[in-house]
Order: sequence, then structure tokens, then C-alpha cells
Amino acid sequence: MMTANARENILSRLRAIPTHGRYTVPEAPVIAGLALSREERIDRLRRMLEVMHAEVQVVAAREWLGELKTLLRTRALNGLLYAPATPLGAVLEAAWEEGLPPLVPYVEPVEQCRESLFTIDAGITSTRGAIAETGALILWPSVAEPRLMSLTPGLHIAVLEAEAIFNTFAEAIDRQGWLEQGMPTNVLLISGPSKTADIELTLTFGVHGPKELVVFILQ
Amino acid sequence: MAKTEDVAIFERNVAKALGDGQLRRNLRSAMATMSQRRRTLFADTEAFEQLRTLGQSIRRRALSQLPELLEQLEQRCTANGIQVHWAETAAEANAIVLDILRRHGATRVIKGKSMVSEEMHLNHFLEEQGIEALETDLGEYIIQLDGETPSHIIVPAIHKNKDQIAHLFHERIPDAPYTEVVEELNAIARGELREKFRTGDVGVSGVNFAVAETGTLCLVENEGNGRMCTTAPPVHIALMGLEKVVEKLQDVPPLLRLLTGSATGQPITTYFNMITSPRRSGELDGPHEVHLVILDNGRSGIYADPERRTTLQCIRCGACLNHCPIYTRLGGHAYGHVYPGPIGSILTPQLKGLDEAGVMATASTFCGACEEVCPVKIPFTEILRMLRNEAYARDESEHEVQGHGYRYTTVEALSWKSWALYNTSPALARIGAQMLSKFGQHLPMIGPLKEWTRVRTPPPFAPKTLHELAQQRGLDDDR
Amino acid sequence: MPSGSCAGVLKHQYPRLFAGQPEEEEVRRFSSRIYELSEFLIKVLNVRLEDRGEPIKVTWHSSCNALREMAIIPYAKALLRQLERVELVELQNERECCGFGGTFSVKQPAISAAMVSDKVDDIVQTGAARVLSTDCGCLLNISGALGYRDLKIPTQHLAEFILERTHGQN
Repeated sequence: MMTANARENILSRLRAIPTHGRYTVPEAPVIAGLALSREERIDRLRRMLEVMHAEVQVVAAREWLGELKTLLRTRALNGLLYAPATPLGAVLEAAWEEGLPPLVPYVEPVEQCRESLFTIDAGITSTRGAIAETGALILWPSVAEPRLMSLTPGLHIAVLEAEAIFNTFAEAIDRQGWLEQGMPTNVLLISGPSKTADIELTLTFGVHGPKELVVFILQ
Repeated sequence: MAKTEDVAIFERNVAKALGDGQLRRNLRSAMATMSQRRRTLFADTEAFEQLRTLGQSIRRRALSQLPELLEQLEQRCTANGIQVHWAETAAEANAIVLDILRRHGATRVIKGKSMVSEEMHLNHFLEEQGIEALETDLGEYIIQLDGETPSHIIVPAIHKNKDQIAHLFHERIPDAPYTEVVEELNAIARGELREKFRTGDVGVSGVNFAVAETGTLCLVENEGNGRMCTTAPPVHIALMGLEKVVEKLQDVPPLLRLLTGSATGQPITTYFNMITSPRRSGELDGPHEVHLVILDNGRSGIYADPERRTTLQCIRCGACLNHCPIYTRLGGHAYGHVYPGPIGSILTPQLKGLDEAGVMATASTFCGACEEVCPVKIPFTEILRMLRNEAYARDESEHEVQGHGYRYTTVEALSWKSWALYNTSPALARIGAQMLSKFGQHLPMIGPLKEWTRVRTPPPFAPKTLHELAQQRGLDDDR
Repeated sequence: MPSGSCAGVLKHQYPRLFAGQPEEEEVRRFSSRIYELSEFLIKVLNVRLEDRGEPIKVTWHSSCNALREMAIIPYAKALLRQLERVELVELQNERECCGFGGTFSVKQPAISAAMVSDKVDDIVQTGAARVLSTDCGCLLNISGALGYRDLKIPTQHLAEFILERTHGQN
């Protein structure tokens, strides 16, 4: 295998090209982004997510736990995967009670808990923000809150602060300083439960990722 | 006139595709739906025009500094812990992938959708090495079960309807019940693949955009299988064509919007997955190793010509396929190569040489539907016209496309020379037109006229030429 | 120019063809003066057509060059709308090519045939008594295919149709 040479060969071929000046770069138009009020952003985000079959609850910050418990009580779930070392994790631990599915902490490397990750019914994560224009949550997995939490459980519950809803993707990157602080291992935009239209373009939800996405927007 | 081999193969494929009524119905309704969804999302044509000018500008800015950006990408990725490999050919890329798999003793590979891997024929190659490469995108999974290749770059199994898929699942998946309910078919696939995601040794994916500024690989998907392949196994290998690089993180949002909107009319996909490094210290999941394979495979040759370079602007949205009256009637397989439709017709002859795929450039009426919807304004008709010229350019090739002049024949060269002479000599043209109006009805039905009259009546010729009519009215046309 | 594709060549292709040549400026001036007929009638001459014909149902074929390169379909339809007794029934896939494509029709005869055959089906479905267009290439293709299937739906160029309607023939 000549991969060391491949790099040099490819780059030198690309560099060897005389600038004809015929391949020009058109001026980029400046496109005014969406500029919605706080309420409009919440409303738009909710609508866009709902179109994609997410369940959205806009609730007062002190009421959301009650709503979460109500939701969980109506379902027979074998557990709720959560991240204990996050503020959200602490809140959940303090509020947990009888009759709710057991809280299952994600604290071991995936190699040690693969089986349970792939069989647990639900997972709950925080979010770093959201995008009103297209309807999407921003997830920023971390040491405390790993990546698979929002992927392997059939039900993904996401908690979002209403303050963190941006107009556009570009605005989120800019205002949250993604470049300045450096990109983490993984960033995700999530706009609903997993879906496919690969058979006759018939849209169906719940393929390989979560079948349901429930979003709590905290006012 | 003897037919070149590519032409003969294509004609056979076309006859087969056109004769398949089921295929034509499946495609027709699917393409109409996709076009309609796109139109609804980009209903504001002025805003769309602005957005795609931005998209074109971003892609051209990236391509105009391609070697620098690729080096920057490599440097940033390496700093982030991603291992970068370069491959001049598909064979080299396959060897790189195999080497990684061997080092990890991998026998089960789970794959997210990747057209570059199709271009490499990676699955076939790995199978020969005794390694299972399982497609996990539902559409790809379906066609892999049937031993087929994708017929569309976005919806690979679009040529099949649910009845066909129902039979396929029932026959090929152990214990799968027969069902034509789409939800149930999905559930069968989900059940089958879940175990594979849990136990896969290595995940392979494509790349939609690679950000040079941060060393970030971006993946667009709806199903979650891409996230599975890039998160669950201990090793992730990402494959990209060298044109996929963009300069800045802020280049991503407009391209993402153009990509998902053009492809399926969605404002955004369910998942947009941005990967910047392998698992970092203390993290509980994600692959320990991430590899990026940067593939040339003919792209640097396309890059060399500033007019052909526009081909590399493509972000693989598939809108040109959905809107192409020819793709809509043939489907992807008839083209005979990995990339079908208008993008395939301009890309493939340049990647593989005209002598192998030049016929694809003739599969267009120059109707311009592809150009009209292209989110990065690729000048399809210009490139197609140039490729057709190159196919006949024996000595005087301007663009040096590999295999140029392969269709050159003295007869055709002579006919076009005569045509040029006829049109540049008023006297000759006048005589010619008069001859046609007098004797046109008696032309023998051979050559082009024979093809024409297979489904049409012969063209009528006016009893008098325009010149004659004008002269009758006292007009003098020589001024 | 009574043709979308001819006008397209003269207006848009010529400047490209002559780019960098000594004639470039002259060609540019020439091309800037090119109008497709219906655009010229509406935009420059600002015509008002008086319909003197019998009521008729027609359908319209948008040639690709008229539609995309020249973008003059709104003018052509504006002319038809001025004709009071003409009812326009639009084709189901009006924006789709009829399959002519010049040499395409004889180099890819099978695909071309499939396309024009679908176009004819759409035409039949409108129940129109006539097919109008601004491009003779398309009309040649469509009329040939209509004739081959023995369908008595005449095709006609828009200019001819307007002349006929405003002069009260038919």
C-alpha cells in the first residue's frame, strides 16, 4: 500500500493546477436570518418538532417534574436511563419516588453495560439549546452525559431551557461560541424520533433510534 | 456505424427498464412526491435563489482552495485524534479499510449509507476477504438483501414497492412473517439490525461535509443507523471523496438546509451528527478510534479543468435525479454505474473515462430541469455538452477528458462538418432547404429517420421555404 | 424570435460562445436585443388581442428553453388569456420535457419515444382540440407522435394560432 505517497501525489496534483481565473467564487449574498421574539421562538420550535412527531410540553420550570412523573406513570417502562453527574441528574434523584420506573444511571463505559443500554426503555437528557427555524434540539454529549443516552432507548426525553432557543443554526453556533470553545467529541441536532421513508416514501417513525421523543421546554 | 460498447450496454438496459411497467409506476409516483415536497419547502423562489447562490459560493470557495483546506482538515483531525488516510484509487481505499479491520480482528462491519463506499464496491471487496459488511440504512438493507445496488443516491430502494419488499423480507429473513404494512416491515428490519448494532466490530460511514476549520465530520440522516454505526462500535471509519471539505463551521448551516430541503423537502433531518474526535478521556461511549479515508479516485483529474471542476460542487442531494424526466423513466440501474441521473451523467464519464461511461452524457435532452433545482448551481447542460464534444474530439480535445475521441467516426465527423458548412453558407443553405421542401417527403426511412418514425409519423416538409415565402412578399433577406 | 430555443441560443449562448473573441462586444449588443415573440408582443408592443374565432379548448406545451432559458411562459399564457373564447386546459406535467432534445430523439430513440408517448397521454387527457407551443422542435415531435397514434389533435405554433384567431378564420 502506498498511502504515504497517495497523500503527496493527490496534493501535488491539486496544487499543480494553473490558476485559470475561470473558476470564480461568486459573492455570497447576505441572507437575513429569522428574528423572532422569545415567545415566537418557543412557538415555532414546538410546531416544527410536533410536525416531526415529537411530543412537546411547554411548562413552568417548577411544574415540569410533575408533568414528567405523570407521563412516566402512564407507561410500563423498565427503567429511565439518566446521567447522575449532571444538574438534571441531581434534580431527578431528589425528586424520584415510588411508582416511577427505576432511575438507571449511566456511569460505566459502554463496554461494561452494552446489554442494558440496548434494552432499556427510556432515557432522559439535557440539551444545550434548540433551533426555532428548522425545529431541532442541540445535544452536546459529555463525560457526564454520554452519546448513546439519546439513541438506544425507545423513548428519549429531552429537557430544554426556553432561554436557549435560538432563531437559526448559524445563530446558535455564533452565540454559543462553538468555535471559540472548541468542538466536543460529538454534537447532535435532533428534530424528532427516528424515522424513515425508504419504503414507497411512506413516512414511518421509530426505525433504529428512539421511537418517541418527548421534549419539555422549561419557561 | 458500429456501436461502442457503452452504448450497446446502455441500450439493453434502457429497453429492460422501459419494459418494466411496475418500475415505471413506482418511480413516477415517488419522484413526483419528492419534487412536490421540495417545491413546498422552497416555495419562496426568490429566497431559494438567494440561498442557492450562497450554497454555490460556499462550495466554490472551498474548491478554489482545495489542497490547502484538505491539509488543514488533516491537521485539525489529527490534532483531534482522528487518523487520516489518503487513497488515490478505490483499491487503495479498500486496502486501507481492510488493514484497519485486520488490526482489530474485525469480522462484522456495520455500515451507514455511503455512496463513496458504493464507488469503492467495498461490500463486495470485504465479502471476498471473509468479512461481513452489513448495510443498516433501511433502503440499503433492502437492496442488499436482494443482492442489488442502490438505484437512487438518497432513497436507494425507491425502485421497489412494498409488495416486492414484503416478499423479499418473508423469503430472506428467517421467521419474518409476510406483511405489506410498511410499519411492520420497518419493525422487522429494526429487530434484525438492533442486535447487529450491539455487536458490530467496526462502523463505516460516509461524510456529508468535512469542516476544515475544526476537523469535524458531519453526517445527515433520519433513521439513527448512522449514529449507531458511528457511536456504538469501538472503531469508526469515515469515507469521503476529497471534494467534501468546506472551509468554515458557519458554511455548514446553509449547506445543510440546501441538502435536506433539496433531497426530501425536509427543513432538517432527524439527526445531524457532528463528529470531531474519538472517545476522549473519561467519556463512557463512542469509538476509541476514528479513521478518515480521503479518496481521490479520479477527482483530482476533474479538478484540473476549471469548467469541469463545477462537477465537484455537488453535495449529493439527489434533486437532479428526482426532477430528471429520463431518470424518472429508467431508474438508477439502467445507467449501469454507481451514480445515476444527471449527476451521474456528468460525474461518471469524468471519473471512469468516456470510453467506459460516455454514453451517460447522451442521456439528456438538455431540458435543464436538473440545473433549475440544483442547490449549488452546477451547470449540467454545459458540462454534458462538453462531454459530448469530447467523446468525438480525437485530436483537438480542449478539456482532455479521459477517453476523449472514443466515438469519433469519419462518417459522423463528416456529417457534422457538412452541417457546419451548410449553415455557414447562405447559398448552400438555400439550395438545401429547397431540396428538402421538394424531395423531403421521399427521403428513405434509414438512419435517424428510421429511429424517428418508430413512434412518429415522418416530418412534413413545407411546400415552400421561408426564403421563398419572404421573397413572394417582396422581402429582401440579404441585408 | 418565434422560438424559445432559437432565442435562447442567440440571447444566452452567443455571448458565451464569443467570450474572449474580438466580436464579443458586438455579440453582446446583438444578444441584448433578442426577444422571444410572446415576450416581445407583451412587453414591447403591449398588444391587445381581439378574439374573432369560435370557442375552442386548447392545451399548452412549455418547451424547455422557453420555460427555463428564456422564462417566457407567463407572456405566452398572457396572450392566450387575452383571447376571450379560448379555454386553456393545462397539461398535467407541463414542466416536463416532451423528449425531443434535438439529436437526442434519434440517439436515444427509446427514451425519447417513452417521453413523447407520456406527453401524448397527458394531451389526450386534457380533452383539448389543439396543442400550442412556441417551439417547432417540440411540435414536430408531438405532432409526429399524435399522428402515429392516429389522434386527430392538431398542433400549432402560438404565432399562427394568434394570427388565425385575430383574423377570424376558422
